[in-house]
Amino acid sequence: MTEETEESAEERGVIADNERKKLAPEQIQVERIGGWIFAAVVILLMIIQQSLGLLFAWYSGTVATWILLGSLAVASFLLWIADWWPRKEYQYCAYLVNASGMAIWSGIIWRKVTSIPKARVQHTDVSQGPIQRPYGVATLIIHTAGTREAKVEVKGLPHAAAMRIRDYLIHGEEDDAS
Amino acid sequence: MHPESEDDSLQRHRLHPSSLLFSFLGQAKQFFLPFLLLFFAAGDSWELWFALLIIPVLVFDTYRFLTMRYRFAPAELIVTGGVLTKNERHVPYARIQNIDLKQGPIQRLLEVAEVRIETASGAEPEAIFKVLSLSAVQRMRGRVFAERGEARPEDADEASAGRTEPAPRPELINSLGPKDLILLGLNPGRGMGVVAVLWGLAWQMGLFDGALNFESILKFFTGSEEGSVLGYSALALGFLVSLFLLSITWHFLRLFDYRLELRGDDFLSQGGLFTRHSTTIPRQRIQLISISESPLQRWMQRVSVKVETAGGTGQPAESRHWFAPLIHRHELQGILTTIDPHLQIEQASWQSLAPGYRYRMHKLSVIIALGIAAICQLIFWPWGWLSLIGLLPLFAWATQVESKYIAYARTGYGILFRNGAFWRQMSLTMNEKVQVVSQHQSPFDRGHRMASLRVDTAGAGQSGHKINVPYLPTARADELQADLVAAAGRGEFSW
Repeated sequence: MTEETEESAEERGVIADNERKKLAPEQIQVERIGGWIFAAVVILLMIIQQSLGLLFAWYSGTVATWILLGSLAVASFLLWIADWWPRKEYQYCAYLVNASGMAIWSGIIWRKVTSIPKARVQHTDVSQGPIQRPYGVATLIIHTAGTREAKVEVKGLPHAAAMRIRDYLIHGEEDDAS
Repeated sequence: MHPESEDDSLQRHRLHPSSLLFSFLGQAKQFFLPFLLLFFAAGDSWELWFALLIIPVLVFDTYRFLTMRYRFAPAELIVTGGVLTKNERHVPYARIQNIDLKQGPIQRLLEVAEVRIETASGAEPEAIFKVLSLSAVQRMRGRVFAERGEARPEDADEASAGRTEPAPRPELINSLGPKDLILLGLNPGRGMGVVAVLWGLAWQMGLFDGALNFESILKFFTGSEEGSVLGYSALALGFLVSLFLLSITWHFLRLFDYRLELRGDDFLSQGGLFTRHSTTIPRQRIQLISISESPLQRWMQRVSVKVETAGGTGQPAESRHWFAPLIHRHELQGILTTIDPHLQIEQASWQSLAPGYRYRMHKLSVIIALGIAAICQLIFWPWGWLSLIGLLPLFAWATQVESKYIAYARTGYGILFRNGAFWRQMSLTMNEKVQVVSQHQSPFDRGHRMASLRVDTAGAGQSGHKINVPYLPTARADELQADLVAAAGRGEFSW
């Protein structure tokens, strides 16, 4: 390998660099928005239930108070977890691509490291959800012939990196170094 | 290409004429019960005319039979047919995993069989032929498994000449006699044990009071008015005996006259009393080998071997095939060698788990025992907790036995894992069959700096023993994972 190709490879960034990398930081915001939407839906349902209860006087005074307190607790838990979970996920989740394949770190409480040999990749998908699109992140889905691990997902890669990893896993060598 | 073989590839084959009979019988079976209900419910009123609905179904079946054809193209099997929309399905020989046969009593009389062609993809068999004559099946097996890889002209010639045996002389690997079947039947396994416990619980909770009156049965057997201890134990004994008889009957039905043959590069297993099951297991397609030993088998020095192939994902229970249902322990190495000469298990150096794994296993067993005791407490209030007197020593014993046995081995060709206290199991897979290697760490694992390592292969069913090594030191798990992935990456996976 000559100096120039090495340099150009560095500029482009070799994808199979055997380095543990974090996901895109934008994914935190993407996950947060997802969590907020979920929390909003639940809170809306609770508000409807609460107002209907008040309107038709379903519950006695004490029961209504307990339900209100419970709903407030659920709402605050959902809002807290929507902020906490994505930060923790960003802290622990990572990926690594090297000559023999790809490794993915996932999980917060039950942690998991999944290794997929490159030769076992059947096909791959890159998908982008509606919230992911404005943030330029994507989900890489790797299909293998395995059973429990027939489909391995990496959520929150930068879109360009996801496309390059996909090409690398499918076509083997880096497209061309020249 | 020889002109004959080209001719053969153009020749379209039909199903066996008796197919019509079997499709009618199949439909009749489906219609029989509703028809009977209709008959008794409606008497002789106009609703009986609904029974005539069977006629379009029969016409449809007849038409499907008349249109269905298959032919052997040089590299693929082409199946055409269809009633409203014409279908042409191409199944490359290289992708065919299994050709499975099923023969009921009438089908055996007529020397025909139901044939299922299975590939790795899809939840259903790629093609079902209902039914083909046995000679047609032989030709199909010969064609499919000879043409896979590179097509050899001489095989094509033989097949087109109509010879029924293009494969090399079959070599008998394993067969079962009636004695073996009884021994297998006496190993009801853990599943049957659970059934027995559930029955006992259901009885205790009075679930049978309405349907079957056990008290009266008891009275009938013992002649006494009150259920004595003797009576109860007689009933329990009777129940156990019937359980064993059921298990023996099942094994006779499923595995009677079981034979495993090696024909060239494919294993052919067949067995069954009334309905004969016949499965072709290509040697290359074996993904995982599981060896199990029940307490009785260990005492008799026998082991059971099952293998998993890719494909047939629609029936997870069926992707795990009987291979050698009962063999002497000394024969095991020979059987493994026929699958792959590299598979040596005697030389495997078994390695123990992380220091401290015994302590964790015992802790877990105490928690499980407490959980069971809590359930007992709820059922047999207030003395259920007394079950702990029996449960704790039993669990401690089982854990002690298992902790001495549980181990893994990394060998040149792949990885082995064994566990189990009284029912022992061991599984092994080859480097080139390893799909995904994953390391799992629960919060408890984290506290002890341990992790478990799981090896995923193709066609691993939902149930059955798997390579799932718990309580490894994290450093060792990392090393093993990297090693396995590198070894798997060296070889290209070919189903």
